[in-house]
Amino acid sequence: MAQFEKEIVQAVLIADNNVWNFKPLSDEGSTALLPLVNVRMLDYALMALNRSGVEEVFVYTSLYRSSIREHIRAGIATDAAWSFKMTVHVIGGEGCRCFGDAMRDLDNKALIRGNFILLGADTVTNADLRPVLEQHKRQAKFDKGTAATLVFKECANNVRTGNEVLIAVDRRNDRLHYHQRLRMHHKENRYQIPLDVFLGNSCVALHHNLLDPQIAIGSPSMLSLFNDNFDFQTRDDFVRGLLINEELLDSRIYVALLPAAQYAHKVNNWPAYQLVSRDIINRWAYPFVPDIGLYKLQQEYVFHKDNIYKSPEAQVSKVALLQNVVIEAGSHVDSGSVIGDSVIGANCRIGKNCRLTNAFLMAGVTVMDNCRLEHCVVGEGAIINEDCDVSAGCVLGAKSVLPAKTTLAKTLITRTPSRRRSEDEVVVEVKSIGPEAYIVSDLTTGDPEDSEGEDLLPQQPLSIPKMGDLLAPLEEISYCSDFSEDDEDASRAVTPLPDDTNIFLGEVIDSLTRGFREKSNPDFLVLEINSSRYAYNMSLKEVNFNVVKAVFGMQSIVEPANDNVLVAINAAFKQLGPVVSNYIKSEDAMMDCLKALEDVYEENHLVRGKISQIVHYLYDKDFVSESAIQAWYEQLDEEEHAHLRQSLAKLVAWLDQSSEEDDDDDEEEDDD
Amino acid sequence: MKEQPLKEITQLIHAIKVGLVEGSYNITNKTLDIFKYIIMSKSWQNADALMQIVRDQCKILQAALPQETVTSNIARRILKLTREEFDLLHAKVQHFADDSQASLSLHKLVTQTSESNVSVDYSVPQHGLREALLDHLQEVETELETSSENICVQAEEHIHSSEIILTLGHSRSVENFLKRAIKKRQFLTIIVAECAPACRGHNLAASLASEKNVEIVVIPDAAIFAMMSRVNKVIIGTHSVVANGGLRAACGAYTVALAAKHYSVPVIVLAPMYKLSPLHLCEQDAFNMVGCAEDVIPYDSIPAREAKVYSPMFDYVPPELVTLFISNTGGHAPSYVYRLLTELYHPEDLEI
Repeated sequence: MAQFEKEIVQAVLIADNNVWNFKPLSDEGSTALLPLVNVRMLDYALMALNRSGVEEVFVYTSLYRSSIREHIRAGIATDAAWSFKMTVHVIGGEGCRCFGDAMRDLDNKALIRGNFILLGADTVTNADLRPVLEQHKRQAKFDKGTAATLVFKECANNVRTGNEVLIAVDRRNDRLHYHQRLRMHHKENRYQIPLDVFLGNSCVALHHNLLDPQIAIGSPSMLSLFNDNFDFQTRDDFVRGLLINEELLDSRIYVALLPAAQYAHKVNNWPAYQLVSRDIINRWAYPFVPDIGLYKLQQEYVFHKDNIYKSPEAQVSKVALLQNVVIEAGSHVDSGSVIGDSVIGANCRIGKNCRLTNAFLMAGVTVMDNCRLEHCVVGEGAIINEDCDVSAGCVLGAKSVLPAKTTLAKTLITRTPSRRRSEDEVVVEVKSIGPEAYIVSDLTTGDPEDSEGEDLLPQQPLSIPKMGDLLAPLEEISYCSDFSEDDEDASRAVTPLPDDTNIFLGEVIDSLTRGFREKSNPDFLVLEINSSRYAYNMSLKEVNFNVVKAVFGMQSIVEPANDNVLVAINAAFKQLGPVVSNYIKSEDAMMDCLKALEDVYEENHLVRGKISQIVHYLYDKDFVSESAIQAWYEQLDEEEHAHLRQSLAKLVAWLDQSSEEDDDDDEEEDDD
Repeated sequence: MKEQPLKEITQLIHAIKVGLVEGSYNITNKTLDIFKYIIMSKSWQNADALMQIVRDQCKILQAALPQETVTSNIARRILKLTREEFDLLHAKVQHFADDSQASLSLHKLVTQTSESNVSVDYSVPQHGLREALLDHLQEVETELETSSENICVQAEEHIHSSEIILTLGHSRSVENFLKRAIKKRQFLTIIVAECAPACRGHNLAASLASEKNVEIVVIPDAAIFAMMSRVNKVIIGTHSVVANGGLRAACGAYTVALAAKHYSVPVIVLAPMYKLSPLHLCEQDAFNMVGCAEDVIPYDSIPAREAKVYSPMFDYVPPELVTLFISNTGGHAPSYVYRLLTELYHPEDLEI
């Protein structure tokens, strides 16, 4: 007790911070009170804190304050495991819409007196955070600018729930230098890490197999940093902001990795829900296992072989329980049903010959005969009538009633049709499949900003991640994503290095293509190109070079109709000639023009075949002078450009001739 | 009807669950303290009420911590104590009433007890019961405190110079027992099986290594059989002793006992009286406790996703593999355990 007298350990729990991912159940109650293996998620977080010796907890909630307060009160009354030696306050603020607002509000209320533990109400962990807190305190003594210590857990890289991160850490002092969230359904082939990370630090470790359980130790300065920076919406914003403005804000973030045998995971979407349920049942989160009497005083389940947890008061005679099953008291399963990898809440009724795999039933659910439930969540008190087939990540809202013989996949069902959370939101079109079952579209509702976009990368499509086979290889998982792997790979291959020159070239190509197509005034195009030139600080030489390159880089020339590149070039120059001649005036500019042609020669095989004709054409149209061609030809390397020289030899010879006798070009014309 | 748990009971349950109170000795001690507090409190008027309170609280403890049998053992002791004290006082009062029969004849004694078994009314308020109970509780407490010491005293009788002793994991009684033996005997070799995955054997080895004149060898569990041929005695502790004399001991004890049987090495089990439990091993599923999966394979390994991992905490060792129990009252054969149990607990309290 002696060590606690100095300073009591405080913790902040942020509830309701990923509302959107748990639709439609999140519309009916706080996500913090969602049961996970029949224990509410908030209780897991509170127990984790209690085990870490925390004495005062602030539960910060914005949406369902009264129900959470009620739950806390009930927990204390029934001797919940966390109610010993720990006081819990439920606080909340009106108009608190995101994590950042919550932090600002906490700062204003001045409740936090020292370093504090910060975690989401949806974090499941058995970790002892005391050593991490000690590490943070040591660090803070050494470095006054310590803002936070983030806690990460190593995980297998083959299952993604959207919480995986890539970080770069200084090996010597555990300081965070780079932080990037990984994609949810794809394996990255490559990572882009700023060069500064390596230039500025001699000893950097990259961790790509880390899980972010949303646990952090915060310094008092963390809250004031949120107050000073109004644009910090999420914790990721905070991390990013601090990393970018390290000197400006004079704050640093440190990293702590949890040791083996300490489990931590964040339950912020349905796949994570499925994964963590499974981990709890498989006893990875020990002592948070169902048969230890987690929330209640007495032990509720008896542990059987194959990870089956059965309450003595559940009636499951003549039922095949395959593996990883939890059945709470008062539930009744009729004969002939097969259940595997599922959680069944209190007082559920399951009929005959049902098949349940990866189904998560909350309290009081009724499932009639001959149903098949797979990868789905069924809310409290819902009824599924006979012969239904529910699969692939379906979520049924509380008390919804599914008519008989319904087949559903990847659908969210709610009981009442009119569900608008706030006025400014788009009215969602709802489709009815029964008097008390309406489909909720998961694609159109809510913008990610509103729902704590921290979990979603901006390029991800706006749909709720759904449950599925956890062991499916990542590349094959493509449900609810708009883009396929192929598209991505293609775009990656085409996209060149985005340095200024290339961006400039790209812009010029765009301008010219548009101008060519719309037959716009060449003067305007010149203006456009000039403004691009100043934007990217191009020298005149580079502009000349790139404009010519751009002309040849246009789609119509790269892929001409009937492979007739000469016709295409002729057409292009007819239209864009004035633009080119605006730049190619002097002898030097002509040289640049020809050099560009040299580049194009390398890249485009059609041009390669007709190079002498093209040069001749340019000469003919007075874009390049005879002396420029000759000078260019002279400086072409004998070996490197042997083929080019050979193609041009005839032309140059003819030019030499024609400079001597002007009217002797009929011969050459016939060659064309 | 369900009884409300006392505040002390819930706190104890929490402390045990979180791991603040560890080891059966500490748990027993704490439980005894709570029952003492119950007896001292004024909330009961007669023996019947007291016994009801003790039973209810014990049931709560049992429901919350079914593996910790010592809590119900101590409750049974209290119940037996209450019955005895009540009977004694009751008899005294009766005898004062008819002075002529102040001295009980043997015949009288026999007939009386057989009568009282049927019709003792514990609900009659009995003056002086509380004081008498507290007096006797003191005795139980002293017995508990000295149990470890009393076991240690017997070390010299069992361990002789230049013997090779094998033990498993880390039991406090074994630690004290061996320390005593090291002081008294020379050239001992103690082999400690580490008892994975918790590897508490390392702690024991470290603790014993501070003593002089002894050789400590730590071996992995897999080497138990290989080492057994040269071992003179196996000395292990146990979590509890079940009614037939079998053990519920740390995982690995069965391996040790089987290996010892193969090489005919005597297995000596240190079990203070409070670990004797009148329960029979019937349901295998409820008997054991399964620990953390991450002790066995790392979480970030690929097979971790598909594998079912069991890390049991206990082994059941059948009585025929045990040679001798050493309790604070002396050595007993496993077949004698049933007799000890009838002495220790009242037959009616076997089912709480």
